[in-house]
Amino acid sequence: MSQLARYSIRSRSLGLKPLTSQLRFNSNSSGENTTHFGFKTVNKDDKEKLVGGVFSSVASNYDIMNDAMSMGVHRLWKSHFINRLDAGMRPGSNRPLQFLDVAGGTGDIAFGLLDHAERKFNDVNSTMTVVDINADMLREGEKRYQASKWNDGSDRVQFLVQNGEQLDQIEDNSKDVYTIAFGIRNFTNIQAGLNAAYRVLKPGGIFACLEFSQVDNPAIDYIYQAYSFSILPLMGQLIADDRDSYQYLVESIRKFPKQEEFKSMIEKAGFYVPEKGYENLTFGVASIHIGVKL
Amino acid sequence: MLRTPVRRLAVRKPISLLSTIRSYHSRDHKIAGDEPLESQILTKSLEYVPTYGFNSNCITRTIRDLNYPDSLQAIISKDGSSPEFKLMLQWLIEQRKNLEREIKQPESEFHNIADEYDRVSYLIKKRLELNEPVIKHLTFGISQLVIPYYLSQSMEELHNLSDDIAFFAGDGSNDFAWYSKRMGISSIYVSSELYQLTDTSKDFKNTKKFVDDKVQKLNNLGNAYNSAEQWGMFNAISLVNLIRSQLVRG
Repeated sequence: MSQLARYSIRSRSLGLKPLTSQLRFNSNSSGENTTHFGFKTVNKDDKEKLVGGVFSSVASNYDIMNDAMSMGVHRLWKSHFINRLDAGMRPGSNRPLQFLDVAGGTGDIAFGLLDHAERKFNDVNSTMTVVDINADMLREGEKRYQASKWNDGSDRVQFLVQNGEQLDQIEDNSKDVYTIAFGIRNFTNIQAGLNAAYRVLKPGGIFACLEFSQVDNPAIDYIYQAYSFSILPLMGQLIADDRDSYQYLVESIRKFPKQEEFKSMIEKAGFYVPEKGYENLTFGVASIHIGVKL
Repeated sequence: MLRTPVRRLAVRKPISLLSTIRSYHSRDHKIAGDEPLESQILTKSLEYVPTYGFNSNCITRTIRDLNYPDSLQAIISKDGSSPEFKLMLQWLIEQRKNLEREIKQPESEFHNIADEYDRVSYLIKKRLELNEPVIKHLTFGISQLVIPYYLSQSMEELHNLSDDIAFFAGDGSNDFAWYSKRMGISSIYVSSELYQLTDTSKDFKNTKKFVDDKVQKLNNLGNAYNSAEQWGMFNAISLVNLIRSQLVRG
């Protein structure tokens, strides 16, 4: 019996419910109170629940799936993202940084940032708050945290269940670095999320977002679309026994605003966007956006 | 019917953008490094260069002086070039602006120099004088410029400098001399700067003499080129006339 089949049996035994029944609900509604959930139109109130369903059902297989779907490239993107930010308290400073990783779920970016700061600047004082709207994803991150070297009793890392559009437990002007990797796409109201980011950052704080984006080159885009629409849901089905969640992922990627449009949304939230404003990774499959609160 | 494709072409942004920027038109000649925040921080950081050298420490200190968190360095590192290179490039840009400021002073002795080549020589020497406060860090700075990954940006800045020098010297060439002059000025500048790094004479006297000699050679070369061109032209016309006269004779 193949490895794949064993995975699918395991996830089934975890009692993950298929999403189709939830999706069919409301798929015809229209008007002001609707938003998109992949290619479907749903009530704004329901999107949060639906996205919650997707991530609850993929939480346990999240990393395996990411590796399989991106052929490991997502790790390179994330480490590139961390290097670009080059964050950390410089030697000789007495002002530790307050990191906030939104939609941080499994903690990849959070631990990566702390690791970079310690390795490069010998910074062992900066603190990290990981927030995610989904308790299941956050639990994965906490589980990893318990086993990591950051769990040294210093309380530098904190986990909170928070809606990224409100961040109601995070004070105004309290954070130096706001990161969000592959999360903002799932917000019901992306602009509200950006506004919340602006609110919680200190003046001089950095907003940094790593997200799927649009490929410019039409030939490469054709191959990419073919791959993502025909192969990814199939892989989801075989590996995680959850086709619908992965169908949602590829559709939501397609629906996410283009680089320039997203850049202007960041500006609209009040951020100063440095020259060019974004960096494309792998032909634009993903891109890094940066904004500064002045 | 004909109008549609034409209009559609006009709307396609990337093409129209590429075709409208002409850096040789003065209105499109962008003064590099004038974007607000990044270059402000870099320019401010240059004040620390004489003390710390071309080092990310200068940027860290500036950001701290401005009372911003250390994480703001991300806007310097975001495009992947090293802070050392960024500082060096910004320094070159600033010195180029300083050179312009200097000669725009009404009392500058530059205005008394009539000859184009003397002006070139004056400008190069003035520019090299601006190196003096950071001369001991300059070797490191130049080594950043020649890293292959950054070479195109460094060459562009070198061209901007020689273009400015040629312009202020009053270059009016409209043929291939336009290129050869700028290339000549660039190579003189680079070789003189390298000479300056090892020059131990008082007030860099030897470097100044070196510049004068090199510019003189460029002038001679230009004269030689012009003479050769004239001689060639004369002979070509004579040849044509000779052939014509032979043909008329039958």
